[in-house]
Parts: sequence; structure tokens; C-alpha cells
Amino acid sequence: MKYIEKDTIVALATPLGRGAIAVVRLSGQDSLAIVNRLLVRKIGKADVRRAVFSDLIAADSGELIDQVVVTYFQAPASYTGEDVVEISCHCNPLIIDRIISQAVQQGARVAEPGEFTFRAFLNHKLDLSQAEAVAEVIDARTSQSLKQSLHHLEGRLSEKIAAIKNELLDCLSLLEISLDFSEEDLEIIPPEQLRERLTRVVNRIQSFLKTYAYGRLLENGARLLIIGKPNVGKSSLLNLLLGKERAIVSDLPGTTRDYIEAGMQLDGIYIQAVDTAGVRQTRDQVESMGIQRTLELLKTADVALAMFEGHRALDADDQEMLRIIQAHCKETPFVLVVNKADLGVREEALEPLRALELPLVTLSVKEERGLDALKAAIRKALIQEDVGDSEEVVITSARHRAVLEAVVEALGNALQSLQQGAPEEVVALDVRVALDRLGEITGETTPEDVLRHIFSNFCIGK
Amino acid sequence: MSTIYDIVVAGGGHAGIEAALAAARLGLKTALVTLRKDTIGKMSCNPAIGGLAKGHLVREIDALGGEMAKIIDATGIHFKMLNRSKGPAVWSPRAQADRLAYMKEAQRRVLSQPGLTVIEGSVNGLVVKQGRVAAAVLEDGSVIPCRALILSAGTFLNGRIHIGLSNFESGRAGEKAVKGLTEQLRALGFETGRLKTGTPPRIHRDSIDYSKVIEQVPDNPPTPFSFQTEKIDRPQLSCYITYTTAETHEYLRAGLDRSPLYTGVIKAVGPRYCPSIEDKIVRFADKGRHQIFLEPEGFDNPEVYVNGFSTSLPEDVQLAALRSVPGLERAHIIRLGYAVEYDFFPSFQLKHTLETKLVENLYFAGQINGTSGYEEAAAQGLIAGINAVLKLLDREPLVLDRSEAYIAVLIDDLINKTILEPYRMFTSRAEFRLLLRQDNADLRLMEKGYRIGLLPEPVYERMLRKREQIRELERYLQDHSLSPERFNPLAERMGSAPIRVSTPLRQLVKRPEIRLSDLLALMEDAAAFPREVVAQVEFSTKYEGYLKRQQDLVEKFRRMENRVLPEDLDYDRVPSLSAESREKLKQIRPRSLGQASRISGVRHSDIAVLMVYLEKYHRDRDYVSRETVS
Ligand SMILES: Cc1cc2nc3c(=O)[nH]c(=O)nc-3n(C[C@H](O)[C@H](O)[C@H](O)COP(=O)(O)OP(=O)(O)OC[C@H]3O[C@@H](n4cnc5c(N)ncnc54)[C@H](O)[C@@H]3O)c2cc1C
Ligand SMILES: Nc1nc2c(ncn2[C@@H]2O[C@H](COP(=O)(O)OP(=O)(O)OP(=O)(O)O)[C@@H](O)[C@H]2O)c(=O)[nH]1
Ligand SMILES: [Mg+2]
Repeated sequence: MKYIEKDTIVALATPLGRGAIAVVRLSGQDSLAIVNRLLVRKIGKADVRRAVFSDLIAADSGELIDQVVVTYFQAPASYTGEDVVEISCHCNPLIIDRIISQAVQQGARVAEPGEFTFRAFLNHKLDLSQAEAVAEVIDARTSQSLKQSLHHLEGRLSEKIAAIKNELLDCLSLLEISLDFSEEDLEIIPPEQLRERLTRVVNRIQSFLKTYAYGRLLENGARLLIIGKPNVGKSSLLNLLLGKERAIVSDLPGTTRDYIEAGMQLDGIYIQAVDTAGVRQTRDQVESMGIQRTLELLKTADVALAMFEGHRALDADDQEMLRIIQAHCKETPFVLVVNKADLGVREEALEPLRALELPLVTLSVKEERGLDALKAAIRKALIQEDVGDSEEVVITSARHRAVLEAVVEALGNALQSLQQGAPEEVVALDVRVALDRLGEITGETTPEDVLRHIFSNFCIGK
Repeated sequence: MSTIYDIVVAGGGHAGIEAALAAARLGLKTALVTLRKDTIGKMSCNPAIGGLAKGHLVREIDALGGEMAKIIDATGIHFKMLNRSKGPAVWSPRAQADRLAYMKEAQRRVLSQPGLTVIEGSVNGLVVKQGRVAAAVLEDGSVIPCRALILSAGTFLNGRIHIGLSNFESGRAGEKAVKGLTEQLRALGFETGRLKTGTPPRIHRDSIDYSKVIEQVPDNPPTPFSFQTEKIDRPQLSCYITYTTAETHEYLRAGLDRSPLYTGVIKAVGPRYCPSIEDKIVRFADKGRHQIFLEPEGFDNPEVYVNGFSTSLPEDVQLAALRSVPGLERAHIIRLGYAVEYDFFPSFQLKHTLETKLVENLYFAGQINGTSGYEEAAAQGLIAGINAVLKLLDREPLVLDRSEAYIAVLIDDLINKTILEPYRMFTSRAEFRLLLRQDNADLRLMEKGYRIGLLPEPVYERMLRKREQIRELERYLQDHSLSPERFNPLAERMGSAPIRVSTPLRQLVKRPEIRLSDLLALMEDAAAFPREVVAQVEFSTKYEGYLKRQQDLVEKFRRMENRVLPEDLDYDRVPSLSAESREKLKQIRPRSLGQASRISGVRHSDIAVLMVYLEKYHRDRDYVSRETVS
């Protein structure tokens, strides 16, 4: 562990391969000096928290490495509490590597995993729950996701958990009163009431847990696959969704030979859309390999759009599609898309599709009709659980989920003990465990806290 | 030159008695210096021993070879096992004592102890030579040389009694305060603080209208405190319950302008769990009535203790308020309630043996460490007494850990928690509550009491036999089954599901509704097991899962305890500690990471920091030692 040293560290702060810009971060007292040795336009104290454009060059040869934007955060008003310099460069692995190795040549050390956060933590910039949220900020690729993470930072999750903690503290106090103050003239909580209150807590936490899938979606984004026979308009749809001409469109079937990927946003969710080569019945080896490829892609997709044409009856290629859908609709959510509605929609085309009992949207890419309905259907397919108001807390961290699941489990045990009429000290044990686990997100609850809660809420004392 | 004592105990209260008896019994030449012989063992407040969590302490004191349990067994007039409707982990014995008889019995034991000299006097100073205690200096100027000194002065150091707005120096009603000692200790570098406690008025038993109060009868038969007491056959007395009225609260409220508490005359903090009656009506104004226990103080003593009515209001208010309580209309007050303020020494200044860190061979025990209660005092007295001896004899100290005894929870909390009010024991303070039962104090601690030399061999051997029987019964449950024909009638009676095939007893006991004694009654070949043995096995089988979990936590706890912090650790050199934590760590100098994590004010992030620092510390160490080798 090199964590304890107070030297200057450097690392890539954004994940590789996402977006056009990468951020290289330095933290420590020499950050500014080191970076200045690499900049043509030097940064001074006057530049605190200002984005400065500059060429970044190799200190030894003077060779240009990249044109960058540099921001200087002065200690202690920075993420880590130390002097921090952030360099925004082009997201090219070669460029990133060269910048980092230049910094190292000038005296920085490559950071250990999580070391920035660790320093922030050591400098009391973060509590545990916030430390986690910061990792999510770094990872955030879309506006909504960022908003979520900022909520964490503002202690939104902490706030919700604090309310739960308080309720559990109250329940535990009631149990402890019945044990430590049974001689007092106090009303003892009936087991039934305790059960109701604990059950309510469990339900509340479970409603948080339900947001995890959505949270992960905000975190990781989703992969959307467009499949269908040649010429149904898959590439056209991709372009429409992207709002730009990414894929080649032509009236020749088989235009797209290999899959094409592109990133986009849908209601704040980052979506990686994949346009595929058309599926058709074939004996052609190359073609059937293409289909094989499509089936592989299907496995990694979070949602698949299966495209058809509405103006004529299904043909043999469409039948092949139906077979694929039937074989995979258990693992992958499908949305059936009936395109070219501008040419008319025939009942013979719709009939067999309705029989699949999957969400179905009719649209015209050409006339840009039906896009809202399609987006709604995609969103619904991705987020099965109703997560309610997204202003509420959404759980995005696996650790938080694990903690909350452990809390639910402990409370489940407590409820079971209550059910079996086990003595209060046994029930209390699990409520304690639940509180201890919650403490991993917010602060811990000591026996002293429990007593304090009792003394301030109940008239104790013979 | 006067005699040199190995150990001088200053203060013959509940702490001092245990300390002095332990020291003398372990063969050291011991003197108990106390203000008056005839107040040794006096119960300053409520004439009761035990109660929730405190009963556990008494049983542990007994298992280690202490005295308190035996004294109360000999003088109790109202025994009750509290929490009987709860699980066995929180059952707690309690008994009202015949106050005078208790004191006399304590005195008899102390005065007849060979090797123990009792000296009347007031210890007002110490002689410290080269950082080590060398003698006690009495008020009259005489010097008692000693090798170790245990201070157990209770509420007497600069004690000040308050009744209404008048106050005067006194350590306890009718007794003088001790002056000068605190000042000398402060000059030696000790930190001191001030606490407050109070006591209710005593009324004459014949002035109570018994038709208006609710009788509370004691347990029959009474359960003894001591593992060495066969049975108790003293006659028993009832207690009575009544309640305050709206009128009572009026009187009390009208007197608040003459309350030392509410006019700021008393500045020290009293216990929140033991508030005065005036405190209760102010803080819980919407509570219509407060419960009052009328507890007789003995057969020959007409005084009745008005439990729940602790007060420092002036006499006229006390009387008017009392007389508005049903049954007390004609109450005659024998002694007024009062509050007392006194000096204490925050216990971060102590080691876990209760020896002070500043002065070698000086020990603090009892109320002066910020606790309240006879049991808490006695427990500390015993530990201080034992450790003073062990140290003089160059033997290993007795330091219990939190998974072994409430006594350890008590001492560890005193050292690590910031004491803001008098500390008393609660079962909720013990994180291993299910393991620390009053019914297994013998199994937990007698081995230690015996090895130290305080617990008589036959008693120890009885415990070993009990342990063996427990194993036997456990084996029996494992090896024997009941057939459906035999078991199902019982199942039906108890509302339990019938069985279809022969089932091991062990499995049947696990059913919450089935009692082990009922199962054993169905077995023809079962040897007769004593009740305590059946109870132990029944609990450990029924709650096996929970006990296992507590045991796992104990392992985890021990691992943290075993991560020892280096004695030479310089907290000023640990980067990034919060200022508060750094102060606390420097002050307490915890032995282990585990202890560090229990210090109030030390944040979790600081423990992470310490972990990181320890890691570095050890690496540097390794590095250095490797370098010097090569
Ligand atoms: C007014 C009052 C109210 C209380 N209320 C409560 C309560 O509500 N709840 C509760 O749990 N406990 C209460 N207690 C506390 C309980 O009485 C004590 O905790 C317990 O007695 C402490 O035991 P100890 O051995 O530490 O000291 P004590 O029992 O006070 O004994 C001290 C002994 O030392 C002697 N002594 C003192 N100084 C010297 C000296 N310098 N030299 C020689 N001898 C000395 C005294 O004569 C006395 O015999 C109260 C005590 C008082 C006085
Ligand atoms: N009338 C009409 N034509 C459309 C619509 N959508 C796409 N087309 C036309 O259909 C033809 C095929 O479109 P593409 O997007 O290339 O189809 P594809 O599914 O990607 O085809 P392959 O890549 O060959 O599998 C083009 O001529 C599009 O202009 C629509 O909604 N209405
Ligand atoms: Mg195409």
C-alpha cells in the first residue's frame, strides 16, 4: 500500500473509450509545477478553477503531444483536498499514455486504484457513501446519470438512509426498553406493532432496491440491437434515432454487411445502438455467418428491435425472423417495429406479429412518424420495474445494494423471530445487525446512541 | 517507623470492601482505611442489590470469588428474578436488603478477615516516590506506608449536599466530605470532573395507608445470588406501588424556583436514567403520573425508601408533594431527599487493571471513576484488588474482555467512552449479550477466580461437574430419539406439529413451543439432570444459530483486539487523523485497533487511517530489520 505517502499522483480519471474527451488528473503538492513543465501556456495562481487552453508538449523534446484544456484546483478546495490539476485531452490511448508518462518523468507517481478517492477520504472530503458516488461521477456519461450521482454527493442517499436508520433505532429502543427498563411504568410495544413497523422498513428498502436495475442502466447504459430482414429500414431507423447519417441507406437489400454501433441518449439513458446486417433464409456461407453474428449480438443486447414492413404480407425471411424472436424472447426483451407505415399497414402483416404478444409499434421512418411511441416502448422494455419519480433516490452502487440487501435479510430474520415468539433479546440482535450494516453507508450506531434515544424519548428512572 | 502494608484501601464502601477482602485473602498484608468503621458497607441510596444488568455483575463478582452476592443472600428481604418473561440472557436477580443488616454483615466479614486491618481515618494525601505510590497520609498527619494503594472514596471527595437552595459540605447525609485529596491528585497531573446524584426521602412505614397502594410480593422461593448459597430462608417483605397525581406535579412545579437543579446552583450532571422527580415532570410534562415504589428498608428499621421520588427540592415542597400521592396522605418524612455533587476522575487515566497511568501502583475503583451503583463499584473494587495483588506478586494481570463478562464491558466503556453522566450498566451495552448470562457466570469466570486463588476449590469443582453434565446432556440429546407414539401426545398438548418418524431429541428441543424438561420426562432411561444444567442445554440448543453467530462475532472482535498498536506509536506522526481523534488516541493510548475503534470521538475513517499507518509502520519495521540483517 502506497496510499499513505503524500507525493503527487497521476492517473486517467475518466474511463477509456467513452466519449471524445479524456481527463488526466494529478493530485499532490507538486501537481502544478509538474504540469507547468509540460505546458506552453503556463498556469498561475490566478487561473484557479479556470479552464485554460494550451499546447501540451514533451518536456525533453518539446514535441507537441496534444492540445488540451487544463483546470487547476487549489488545496483544500479540490476533490482530494490537495492541489489538483485536471488535463482534458483527446480520448486517444496513445495520447493519454504519453501525457501520463511525461508527468511521471517530471516526478509524479501513477496512482493506486482508488487512491484519489482514498485521499479525499483521508482529508475528510468524503464520507463512505460519498466516496462511492464520486466513482459514479467519473463514470457518468450522460446528463441524467450525472444528476443521479450529484444527488448522492448531496447526501440524498444518506438522507434516505438516515430516515430508515432513525426508524430502526426507534424499534430497537422499544425492544431495549422492554429488556433494560421492564421495571419502568412504560408502555411496551406489542409484537404486532413492531412487526408492522419493521415490515414497513423492509418494504421501503425494497423499493430502493428496485431502482437498482434502473440505476445500473443510468450507470452502464444499455445496448440496443436492430434486427430484421434486408431492406426493412434498419439503417434508416438507426440514423433517425441518432439524428444523423451514420449508416448507409439504400434500396438495395443487403446494404449493411457488418454491424454498425453508435452511442445516443434516450431520456437520459445512454444507449449504444447496433444496426445489423439483414436476416434472411440463405444457404450462402458468408450470409449465414452474418446471421450467426446477429444471434451472438442478441445475447449482449438489453433490448432488441425486430423490424418488419407493414405494407405487405410476411415472407419467408420474415418467418425466419419470427423463429429467432420466439427462440430468444425469454432472455431478451423485444419490441416489434412495423415500418413503412406511409405505404399502408395490412392486417395480414400484423396478424402473425400480434400473436407473439410482444410490444408492437407501427411507424414510418421516412415520415418520421411513431418515433415517440417507439422510444416509450424501448424505455418500458429496459425498465421493467416502475421506479416512480426519478427525482427520488436511485441506487447505482453495487455496494449500496449489497448493504441494503443485508439489511433486508437481517430484518427478515428479526421478523421471523418475532413470528416464532422468540425472546426480545434475540429479535433485538437482528435489528442491531441491520443497524450495523446500515452504518456501512452512513455512520455507525453505538449502544450509547440507543440509550440516548431512549432517554430523550421515554421517561426512565425509578 | 510504622508497619508497611502491601496494600492500603482508602474507603470502605462497596468497592473498598471487595478490594480489601480480595487483597487480604490473596495473602497480602492489607489495611482498609475508612472514615468510620460503623459505616462500612453502608447503602447510601436504594437498599437493593442487583436489578437489570446489575444482577449480572453481582453473579460475576461471585464467580470470581467476591463478596457482594453472599452479603445480600444473608440479608435480603425481597428477592425477585426480573425479566422472567423474557429470554434467559436478560433475566436478572434483584433483592431488597435489610439496610442495616446488610451493613452489619459486610462489617462482620471485613472485621473478621485475617490479614486485614481496619483503620478509622481519612486519607487526605499520598506519598509518591519516583512515580510510584509509597504511602497514604491521613488527616491527622499519620503516614501509612504501602506498596500499593486503592482509592475508593465514593461520593466523598469535595462532596456537597443540596436540599433546596441551601447546600453544605458532606460526602453523604450526616457524614463529612474529604478535602485536599482531589487537589493533590490534580497537582500530580490527574484530570478531575464533577458529577451529581440524588436520593429520595425516606418515610415512616406506619404513616402509609396500605389500602391505597398495590402490593408486590417477592418470589417464592427466592433465587440466591451466590453460586455458593444453597437456599434462602429468611422471612420476606412486600413492596408497594403507587403513583404521583396531577396535584403532586403542581406542588413540584411550584417549587422549581427553589430547586438547585433549575436555578443553576448545581452545575454537575446527574444520570439521565435516574432523574429526580422534578426533572421528570419538566422533561415529560405530558405524562400524567409517575410510578413510585415503596420499599421497606428492613424489619427493625421503620424507614421506607420512596423509589422514583429522588429530589433536591426544599423540605416543604418534598412534604406537600409526597402527601398528594395516594397512600401517602399522612406520610411522615424521616430523612429528606437530597442531591450530592462530588469529584470524579475520568477513567481514560486508567489501565484496564484500574491502575492509574500516572502513578504506579495507585488504583481507582468505584464511584470516583464516574460510575453509579453498588454493583458497578463492587465489580471495580474486586478487579482493582486482584490486580494490585497480582502486580505486587509479579503475576499476569486479570484483564477480562468484552466477550467474557459485563465487568469487562464496564471497565472498557469507562476507559473508552467520554463519561458525561454517572455510568450504570445496561444489558444493551454488552454486544455479546446472549453469551453473557447471569446463569452462566460460573461457567464463564470460575476458572479465573480459582486460578487467581479467590474461589474455593470445592466451588470450582462443582462448576466443573456442571460443565461435564452439560456435555453429557448434550450428547444424550444427540443420541436419543422419541417415537411418534411417545412424542405426539405432548406435541398435541403444546400445539406442536406431530412427527411421523422417530426424531432425535436435539431436533425436538429446537421447537420454540417444546420444553426440554417435558421431553426428558418422556424418557425412561434419562438420568436426572439438575435444573441449571437443563436450562443451559435448552437455551444453547434452541438458540444454537444465534449463539453461533455471536461466537463468530467474538472471533472477529478478538482479531481486532489482537491487532496490537505499538507502544511507541506517535500519533502526531500519523497523517490525516482528525484533530479530535488524535487528541483521544493520545489521551487513551489504546492497546489495540479494536479498542481504538470503541473510543468515543474516534471516527471510522480514522480507524482506516490507523490501519493504513500500521501497515506502513510494520513495513518500515520489516524494512529496517532486513536492512540491519544484511
Ligand atoms: C445521595 C446518593 C444517591 C445515590 N443514588 C444512586 C442511584 O440513584 N442509583 C445508583 O445506582 N446509585 C446511587 N448512589 C450510588 C451508590 O451509593 C454508590 O454508587 C456506591 O455506594 C459507590 O460505592 P463506592 O464504594 O464507590 O463508594 P461509597 O459507597 O460511597 O463508599 C465510600 C466509602 O469510603 C469512605 N471514604 C471516602 N473517602 C475516604 C477517604 N479519603 N479516606 C477514608 N475513607 C474514605 C466513606 O466513609 C465510605 O465508607 C447514590 C449515592 C448517594 C450518596
Ligand atoms: N417508404 C418508406 N421507405 C423506407 C422507410 N424506411 C426506410 N425506407 C427505405 O427502405 C430502403 C432500405 O432502407 P435501409 O435502411 O437501407 O434498410 P436496411 O434494413 O438497413 O437494409 P439492409 O442494410 O440491406 O439490410 C431505403 O430505400 C429506405 O429509403 C419508410 O418508413 N418508408
Ligand atoms: Mg442496412
